Amino acid sequence: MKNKFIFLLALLVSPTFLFAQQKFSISGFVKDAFSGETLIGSTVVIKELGKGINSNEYGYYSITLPTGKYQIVASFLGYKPIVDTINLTKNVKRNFFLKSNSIVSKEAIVLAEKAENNFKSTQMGTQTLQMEKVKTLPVILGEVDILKTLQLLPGVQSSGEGNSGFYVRGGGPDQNLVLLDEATVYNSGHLFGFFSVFNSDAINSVTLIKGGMPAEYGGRLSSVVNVNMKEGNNQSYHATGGVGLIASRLTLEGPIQKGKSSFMLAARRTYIDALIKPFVSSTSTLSGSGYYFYDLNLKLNYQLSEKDRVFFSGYYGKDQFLFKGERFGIKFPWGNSTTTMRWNHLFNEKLFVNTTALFSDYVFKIGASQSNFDFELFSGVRDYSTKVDFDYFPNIRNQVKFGAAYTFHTFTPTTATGTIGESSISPEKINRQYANEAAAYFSNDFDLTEKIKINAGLRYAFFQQIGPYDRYIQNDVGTISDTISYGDGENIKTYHRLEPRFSIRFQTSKSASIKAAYTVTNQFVNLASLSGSTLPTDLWVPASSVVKPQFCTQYSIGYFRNLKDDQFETSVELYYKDLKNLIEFKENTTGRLSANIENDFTFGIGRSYGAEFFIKKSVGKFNGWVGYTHSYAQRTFADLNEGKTFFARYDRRHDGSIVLSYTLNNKWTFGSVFVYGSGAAFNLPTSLVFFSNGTQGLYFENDYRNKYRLSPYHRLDISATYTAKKTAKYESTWNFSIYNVYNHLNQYIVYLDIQGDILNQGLKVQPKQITVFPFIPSVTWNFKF
Amino acid sequence: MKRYILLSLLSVSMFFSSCEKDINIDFPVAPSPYVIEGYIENGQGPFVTVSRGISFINEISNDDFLNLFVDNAKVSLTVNNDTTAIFLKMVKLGNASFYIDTTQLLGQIGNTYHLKVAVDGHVFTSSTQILPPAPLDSIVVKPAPDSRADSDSLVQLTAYFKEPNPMGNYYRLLTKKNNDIFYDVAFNSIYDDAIVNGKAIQFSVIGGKSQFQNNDSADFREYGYFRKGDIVYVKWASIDKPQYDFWKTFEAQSGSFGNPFSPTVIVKSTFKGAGCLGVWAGYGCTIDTVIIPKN
Repeated sequence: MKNKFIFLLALLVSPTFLFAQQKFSISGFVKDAFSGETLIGSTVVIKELGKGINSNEYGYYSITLPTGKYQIVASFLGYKPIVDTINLTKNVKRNFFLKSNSIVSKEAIVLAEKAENNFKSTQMGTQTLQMEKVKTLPVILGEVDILKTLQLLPGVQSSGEGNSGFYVRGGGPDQNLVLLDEATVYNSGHLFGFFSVFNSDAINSVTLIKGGMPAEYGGRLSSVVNVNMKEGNNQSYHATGGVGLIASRLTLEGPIQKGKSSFMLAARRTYIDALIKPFVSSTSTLSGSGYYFYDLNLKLNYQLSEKDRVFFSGYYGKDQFLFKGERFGIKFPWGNSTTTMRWNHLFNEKLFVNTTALFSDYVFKIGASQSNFDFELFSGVRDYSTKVDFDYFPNIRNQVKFGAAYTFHTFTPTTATGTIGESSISPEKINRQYANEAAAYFSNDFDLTEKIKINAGLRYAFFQQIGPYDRYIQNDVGTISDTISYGDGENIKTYHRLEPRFSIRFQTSKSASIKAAYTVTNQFVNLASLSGSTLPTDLWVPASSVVKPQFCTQYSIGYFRNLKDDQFETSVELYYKDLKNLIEFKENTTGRLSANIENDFTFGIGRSYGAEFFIKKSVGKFNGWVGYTHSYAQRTFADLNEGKTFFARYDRRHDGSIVLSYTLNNKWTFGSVFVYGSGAAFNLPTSLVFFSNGTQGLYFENDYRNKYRLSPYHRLDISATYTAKKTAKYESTWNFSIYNVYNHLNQYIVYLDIQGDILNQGLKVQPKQITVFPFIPSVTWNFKF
Repeated sequence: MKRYILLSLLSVSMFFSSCEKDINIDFPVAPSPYVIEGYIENGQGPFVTVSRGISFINEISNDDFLNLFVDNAKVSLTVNNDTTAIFLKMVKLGNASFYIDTTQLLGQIGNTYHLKVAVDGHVFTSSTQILPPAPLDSIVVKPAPDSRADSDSLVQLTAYFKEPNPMGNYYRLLTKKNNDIFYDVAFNSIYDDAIVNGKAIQFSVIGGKSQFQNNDSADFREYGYFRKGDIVYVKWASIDKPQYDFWKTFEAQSGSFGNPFSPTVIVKSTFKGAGCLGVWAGYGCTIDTVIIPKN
């Protein structure tokens, strides 16, 4: 094992310092000419060498070359490339301001815009979606939702109809690291997951990494979803917004100091409550009940000097649910807030550093009252983090990243306070869990030979649960037999983990390559979920002396090929994941207030494997993609299902989608989405039983888990976007969408309805299905000025 | 709690004009389980019923139901470390059959009772202890809230209770009205002391009723309350953890009947032996009598 790491380290470092000729750097930023917005991951290529580099998350690139004259091409999907000739006799600063195709004339949709990354980079299982492209696709209820679009990619499955929760390559919903400007978002859904917390107008781009996770990311097993907020136009003031069926949005952006600093402020609120109000009479049992959510995004950035830039970004979102019944009232608010402060600094042309301070908070509360009984439950998770990330560009053959991160976590278990009649209930102390999480990493993306490119990295992860904490020891029947109390800051359990990350690309022809990746990841925070989909009540629980970190080794291999002069990107990827220390609730857990929720857990292993097929066309009037996944996800727990292996809830044999977009002319763009998936696994009882007080019960066999399947899921959505007016100053568009065009009644859930009276007429057992989203038309008006 | 959340989920999904449709399912064919229900409390003899579950078919008639009782089981008890088994006697009441003691065996506080049910070649065993009772301090009669339709004739009962230390006590509440029998409050008959350990608390004594009858709406309005002039018996029993786990899972499951969003809850039987679902319940109980004045 040790030798392996030394070898890896040697591999990492060796190619970095090969040549010793006179060399200079070309470096700078790649940005949108119109707004000054960063173009993340844009490509800067040296034509003579046929080699290039991708700009980093802040649009920065740096290329070091021997003295000479070079043609340099900066390009970004959907933008007109810039070609420049540079005589390199000293270090050169060159910023590229690219113009969007929608601004330049139609003929300028140049084929020079190459999608070479597909086969040239070492990255596997990675897709980036530009928000502007996503906006032409059909949407449900008028709300553009980036997480739902991600679900249309191979290897990604929806956690339920219309739900923004997702499963990646047979992993659980908590195994996705969702980052908003680097801050962890613990609950990415509004309205029980039906909408994501990401306001489409505030988002620049989203990158999904489902395999070959680079060393700078860690802490989750399955995927990284990296969401970048817009920075705001630093040239002129603009307002963007929309009025939809259930929500409205407004975004303001503009320079604080032209060309140097900008702001972006976005707000969104639903008005289901206001819409329903007139239809609910004041005497109705539902009067006073309601639901809404809102969110706010704010981003500021300021260029301090040529070498320094600071960013501030924040998100605040909240859901509020109210129910007033005759017998009880209930109210529950929940939401996330995140804050990110970043400082970019250029030490020199080759060394870029970003230092970040982060705050993330998720709170769930529920308050209920019933005659002489009043209570409030709350739970949550709060993180304070800091990290530093270096990008080092020693020469054109190497792109080095290294850095370190630290997070202090506070987990609040479900805690009750309240009054029962005259006595008040409050816990003597809240048994919170505290943890230190840290990581350090190093990676190098380098050309070994002309054909072989390697990305090798190593991540060291550290996790420590610290006191104060009371651990309750349970005896066989589950009664607390002993308590161990840990003092303030006392070490309860520490984990050290090394995570090698390795991917290799072997270019087989001018436009094709074979790639392979090996990734080891550990996950120290876990979502305790009974329902299989994410509910706001689900608790985040850290690794501890009872809960070991979840562990995953992923192997993947793929063939990547571009066709027709890079118009089509295609790929086939195979993956195999070996999972350990997976967590489930014990068989008979009902979900309750628990001083140590870990006592309700049981642990097991899993594996998932599959094949993903993908064809994408991103250029031209007619574009889109076709994706298909054939996969298996299995779990084995000694204490569940009689110890027999069972399929995970998110095991999906077939999962496919066809996403198409067609621009007819300046006025009309059409989109369509077709989705097909095998039915989700569910449980069925075998018998009905009766007890002497007349209550009925259901009997499940011991190996009942996920043995049955809902019927296959499929639907077609279509959309038309009509640009009513478009001038340099004002733009008005209408989006007409139809969700589930042919009204396929997809099974959201199947349950047994038991009616009647066994002492008289007898019982009738009727299985029923519920469809959540039948045929739903919607219209949204969007504007920009 | 979960129920409220599921309720709200349900209403949210209703907003989305969700629709429901009858479907056909090929139910798994599997042997139906044995269902055992047994009770023993301080000062009372044991009482056991054995029945079979019924495989899912579309209609379950009253006859099907009456045929579920099992009258050929050998049901026996041993006390603490005794090895002598006391066999219970099967008695029939119409189609229904019960197993009772005819040897004057009465439950005693502190004793552990081991139950063995042998039937059709299967053996199922379970043990329960009669724990020391923790009496309620008082029960107070209060007027029903004004919002009740006929609040003038209804009352509610409030129990006052000093919960003893240490943590780890479990309780079950049953009530009996006049000449009826004891019923638990369906879906809500058990309590633990996770958040009220050692505290003086008060809670509503909800009247139980048979779940065999339909809950029509008039009935539901009165559900949980008592009438002026009623004589109410309140049984407050200390129960052991396995029994608590049974009721907890059983009530969670039956409380989520017909709730499509509920996760699957598997009832935790107290019996050992595959193919059996049931509870062997020891009550360490006190029974308080409340005579509600006519006016």
